[in-house]
Amino acid sequence: MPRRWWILLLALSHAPAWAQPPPRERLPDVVLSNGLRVMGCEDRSTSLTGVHLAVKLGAEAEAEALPGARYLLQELFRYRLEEELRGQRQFLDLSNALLVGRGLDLSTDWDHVSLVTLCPRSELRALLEVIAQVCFVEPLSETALGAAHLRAQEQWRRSQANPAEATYYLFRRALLGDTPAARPVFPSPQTLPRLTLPALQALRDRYYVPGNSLLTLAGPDEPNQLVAEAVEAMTAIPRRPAPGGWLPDYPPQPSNVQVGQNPHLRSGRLGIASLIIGFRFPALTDPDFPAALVLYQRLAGDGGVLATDARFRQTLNSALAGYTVRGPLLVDAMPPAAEAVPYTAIHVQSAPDAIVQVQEALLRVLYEVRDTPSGEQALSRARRRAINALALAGLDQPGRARTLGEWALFARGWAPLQRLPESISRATQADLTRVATRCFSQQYIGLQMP
Amino acid sequence: MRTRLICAVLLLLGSLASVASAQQVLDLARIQDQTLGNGMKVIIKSEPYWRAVALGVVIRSGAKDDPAGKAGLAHLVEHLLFEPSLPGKSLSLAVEDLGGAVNAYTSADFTLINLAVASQFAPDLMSQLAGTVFGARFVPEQVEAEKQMVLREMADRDSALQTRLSTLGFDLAFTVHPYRHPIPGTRESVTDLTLADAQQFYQDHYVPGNMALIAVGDVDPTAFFALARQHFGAVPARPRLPENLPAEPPQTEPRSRIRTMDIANAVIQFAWQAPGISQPAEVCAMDLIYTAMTRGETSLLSKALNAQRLALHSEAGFLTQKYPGLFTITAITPPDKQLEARQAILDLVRQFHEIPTSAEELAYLKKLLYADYAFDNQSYSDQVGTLAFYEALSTYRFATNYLAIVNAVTSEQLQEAARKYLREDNYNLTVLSPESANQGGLHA
Repeated sequence: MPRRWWILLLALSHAPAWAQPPPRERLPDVVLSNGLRVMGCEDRSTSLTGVHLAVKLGAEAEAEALPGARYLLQELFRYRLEEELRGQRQFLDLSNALLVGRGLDLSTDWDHVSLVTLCPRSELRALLEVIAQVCFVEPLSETALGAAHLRAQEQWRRSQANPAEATYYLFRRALLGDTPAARPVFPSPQTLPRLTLPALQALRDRYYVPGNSLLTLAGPDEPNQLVAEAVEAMTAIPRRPAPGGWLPDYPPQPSNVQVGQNPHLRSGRLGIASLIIGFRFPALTDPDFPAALVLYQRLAGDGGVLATDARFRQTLNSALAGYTVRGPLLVDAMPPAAEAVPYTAIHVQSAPDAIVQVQEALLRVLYEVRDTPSGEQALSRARRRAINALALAGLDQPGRARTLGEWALFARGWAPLQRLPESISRATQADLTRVATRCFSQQYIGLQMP
Repeated sequence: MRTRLICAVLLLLGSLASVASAQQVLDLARIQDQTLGNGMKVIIKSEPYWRAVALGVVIRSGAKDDPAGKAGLAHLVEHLLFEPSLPGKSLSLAVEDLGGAVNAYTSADFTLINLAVASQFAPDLMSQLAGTVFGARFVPEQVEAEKQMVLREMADRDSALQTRLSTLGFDLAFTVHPYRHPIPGTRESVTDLTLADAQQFYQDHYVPGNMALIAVGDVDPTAFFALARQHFGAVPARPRLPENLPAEPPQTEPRSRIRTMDIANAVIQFAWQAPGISQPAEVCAMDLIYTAMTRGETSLLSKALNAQRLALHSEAGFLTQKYPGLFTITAITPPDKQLEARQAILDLVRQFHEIPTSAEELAYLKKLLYADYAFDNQSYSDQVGTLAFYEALSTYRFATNYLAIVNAVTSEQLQEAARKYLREDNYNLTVLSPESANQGGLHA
């Protein structure tokens, strides 16, 4: 557990009476003999242990013929993990209960794939052994592939019927150009038949190797003990050469607009346009990243400028006159995440003939944030929200394991995470202006018309 | 492969069998409590592993405390707490300012306000939290605005079959106890609520001795108790309105109620009076019966109804309450399967009367219940919710003892609980039936 990080928060605290425990100098961060990197984080708040496994398998690894292969592999593992744990019902009831109803989270991001779950501390080793066997060792099976195909087909259908998701992919193409990273993670009906067992097996054998993976554990034990469990459970995975060159450099693209048409945006005679405007943020290791988090918080929430700028709200309301809109906000801002190319994006909807005015109004708001000092109160609010967002990401063990793991992965170590709250608290108006100037200079737009 | 995995796991078998019960989900040793001079209780579970804290204030009054004819008053007052006319910055604005989230809900037994923030900001929120529960000022315009909000929510909910079923079921099962009233009230009762009603309820129930402040997370107990004294302890003690609720008389015969509606399938609900918090062993026995009926791959309800094509969906419900509540079994059935489904439910219940649960099955049910409890208390906010829940009903220590009580339940106790509560001569049957369906024989 990164106590050292949190001790820095003490310096920011308005309440010195809140004594903090002494900082732990470092988390155990070891590399097993087979190359697997393991981190352990003490957390005795419950009897459960959060598990986060990240594999450095980005979209670039999918050869042109295999788009969607990573997603399909993850679904194949999901099927096998559930099957395996269910088969051991008498021994792994608790993990089984989790898998049946509580969410084994297997996700495919453009820059890596991950598994997040949790189990009772007493079952940690058994669960890790199952994960090791299924994800790293056993040959892929036709049965599991068949199940994964079905899920992929369903997911494809859903994504096609979701205009927001389709707009998001247009935005990503604007942001990242015509690269694998901008493609949908799901296989399409055209590419799915090409995702055969041998092709997937080759991808798995090359990338799901210990030296290309990171395991983070957060649970009720000494960190060294947690790591020791991983050593026992995972050392048996054979060592294989790790692939090199995980992620290519993604230099910022020039401003770009991608436009598409989506029949799901029309209901009867009424159509709606869906627009995402996004901006690249500095990388996690960039000194400007903390100020970028504060900049995002200037925009977000009920007290952020997107919700409080009267002219912008008026434009939005006019643009949706005659529409029934549920929810208090007509605009959403996506928070930057710990990933290789952080960005923020703003999603807004309007009547098709008003989308240009909405876009102009949105850009005006953003430029005002860039050009006009925020005022200490607004700046302070944004700093507090940025620090709070970090804290709330770890309210439970899976969240803690994931946060630590992602920072270890993308910031080349978890130490920057420890320093982040302090850095956020020091972000000045000048920092925000600099970051906004840097970020808002290139705009990436995805637009779907009905 | 399977063999190898099982071998690996077998090595752990010896420990796994007993570990589940030995592991603490909510460890009493990690909890401290104090009662302030004005009677307010402060409960702290200190977890220094992540610099976040969840805070809750629970008021031991809920819909059961609504005065006669004023159903929905407790819920309306909870809504009013977050109105921005409060002195100073309101709690919801203060929490939004931090990017956190504040949630509140009203149950039959209590009202809970729950929020989570980075621990460094928690001291700043204490004054807002205290102001919300002790210093709220209501004005007529806000009362009217919130009434409209409640009525809109009610209109949304009323269209849901589940709400209609629940409202009818509680009204049928309780003849005098206030659990019979819907928590949000009725359209008529909410419309008639006044500013004076809200002020009186707030005056009567939002008193220190009727509340507990709960913190789970990165708090130093000494410092937190001092903050609690500063912000909550300064409020003078006031007597709480005595709780004189009419006891529900024992039910001696089955009751039924059928409503025809424009629906495709029938919805059947059996409801039995069930133990309240004052009978902990029976509560836990009923929790195990509930688990047997609903959880795991071989849930009994699923086998008895879904697998036999008697139901499209089936579920059971049992919420521990301060006073005896309800155990329910609900099934959505094709119209022509209503009678068969009903009989299958009664047959299933009879199984619990007649066939003792084997030691192996009982151990499995306890593990499932343990798993549910562990996962239900996964986050700091979850733990505040659980401690608040039991503190409102009885004492938070029930939460820390819960698994031990579950562990001690025997097969005989489980059978006794089924025979005592899930009887064939005192159920309440509520049916929502398609207009075209034949109603003959459906009454109890």
